[in-house]
Amino acid sequence: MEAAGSCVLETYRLTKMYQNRQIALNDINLRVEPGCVLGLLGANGAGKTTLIRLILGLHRPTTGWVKVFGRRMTANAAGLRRRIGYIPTQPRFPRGATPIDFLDFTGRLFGLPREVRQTRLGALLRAVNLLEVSGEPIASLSTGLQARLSVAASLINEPDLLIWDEPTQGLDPEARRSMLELVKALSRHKTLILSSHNLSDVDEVCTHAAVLSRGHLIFFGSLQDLKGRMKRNHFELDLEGEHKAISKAAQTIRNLPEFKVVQVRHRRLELQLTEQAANASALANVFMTLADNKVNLVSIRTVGQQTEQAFLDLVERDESRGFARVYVNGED
Amino acid sequence: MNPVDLPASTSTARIERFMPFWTVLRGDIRQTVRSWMYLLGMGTYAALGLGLVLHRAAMYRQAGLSQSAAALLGELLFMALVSGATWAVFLSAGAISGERQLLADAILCRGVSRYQYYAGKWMARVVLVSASFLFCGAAIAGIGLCLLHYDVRADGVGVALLWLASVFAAVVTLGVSVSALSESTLFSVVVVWLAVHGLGVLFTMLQLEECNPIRLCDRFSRAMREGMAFEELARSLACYAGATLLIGLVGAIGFARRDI
Repeated sequence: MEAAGSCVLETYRLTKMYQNRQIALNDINLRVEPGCVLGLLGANGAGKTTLIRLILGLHRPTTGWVKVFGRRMTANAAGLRRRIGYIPTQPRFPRGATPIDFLDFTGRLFGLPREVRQTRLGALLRAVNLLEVSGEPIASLSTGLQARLSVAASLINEPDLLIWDEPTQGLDPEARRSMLELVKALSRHKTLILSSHNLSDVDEVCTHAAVLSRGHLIFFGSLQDLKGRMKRNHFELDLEGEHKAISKAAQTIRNLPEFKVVQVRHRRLELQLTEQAANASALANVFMTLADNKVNLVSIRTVGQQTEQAFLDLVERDESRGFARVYVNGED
Repeated sequence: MNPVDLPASTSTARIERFMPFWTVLRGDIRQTVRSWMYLLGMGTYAALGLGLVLHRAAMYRQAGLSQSAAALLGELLFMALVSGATWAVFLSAGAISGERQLLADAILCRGVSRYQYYAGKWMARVVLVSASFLFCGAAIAGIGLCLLHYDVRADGVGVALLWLASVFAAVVTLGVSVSALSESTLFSVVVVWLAVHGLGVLFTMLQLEECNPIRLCDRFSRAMREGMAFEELARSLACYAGATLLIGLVGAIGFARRDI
């Protein structure tokens, strides 16, 4: 881990244009602190993979720079890449290679001496449960097993920074769960950047989020801030009590000015507040009404996946800004 | 996956800085030697060379027709130069562009610099092609010396082979450089083949002493019979080495500056 105060990743006015025809990234400013688990969000073509490739020095910035562990990342900065573990979206492997060959080859590319390489290789194959197929050609392994091998390859150099590009893509639910548990375990010691389409994954494991839309960074901050941007005005309450009592309570709530939607379906009360309503006082009124009608509250939750909703809100807001985007950079 | 089983961090392990270079070099030599292109080229050259030597030896021994080993070896080296150049182009022009699929996601994202990767590929192909021709040429020359009229000097054979190797080093370097700068292997092969053979024709038309392949063939035979003045050899080798280095450097710098 880095010393306190130092920065694992920093980008400044990072811009990438391809052959003066396509602007893949525009004016990206990021600062990732040690221990952060950053979720990189964005639709297809938003610039996530381009950003990752710039961070790894595989692409050259058109303008701006990327610093990793305080040093500029370039195509020849092998020393910096020795501290990074990378999983691409669709991992590719040398033809005919076995997991042992591939991990040994990867270890060699990191310059690890034989004894270190062999020790780590064995331990990693065991950790990702690939011992039994370690001598089989990689091409014959399933997507899930290949994903595990990619995880092992990204960890063989014991990196301080992990960059995983859509690591749960194509995995079955069990493998996906294992991957997320692994991310949680690794986040205790390492800094992670996860690119993902799956917002529930990001919601579960990330501490920070960066949202890209058409090459622009439209949000960068903690996941809590991202969720906090969403106005929570849609709730579901599971109730217990007589039908008559529930209907009566619902009718009373309908008469309250703070609510624009009040629906009851099978002892589930759906409430949607007006834009102006303060949710705490509105809900206090609801609880009092329920108590007055002798209806018990079993559970209460906000409707919709919060991170997803916040993400969609951000993208929508960015789109609606139109030409104002020129003057207002990033989050508003 | 069991996170608990992950190996505990052993902090900073010793790093062998040149291991990535050696890994690329070794891997490329192994991969190339196993390729059908390499095996076909070397097999064909060895079979044709040996067949020609045995044919001339039969004419010498059976019919008593005196056969000059220097002339035969000169022919063989010329054959190697003309047909081998095409083979070297095919072998080198896909060195990097042929690995495009793996390059970003399995190789250059690891602890290897672009220069190390390029140098590993370049050295591997230059060493392999040059060494293969040196070995094959030396073996055929040895057999020729035993079976034919003895009119060559051992140092002359060495000089001719060294010369041939230096020409191939330049051709292979051009192949690897173009391969590093282009997206497609087919495009690289076409560009390098046209460049090599086009330059050959151009040099012949301009009658440039050092680079003209016809002149080179004459020089091979003469060098094998009479040896060669050190200055002439040094000038010739320096010319090819300079061209090789220049092309190699342009390729390396271009490769380091491009997006993968």
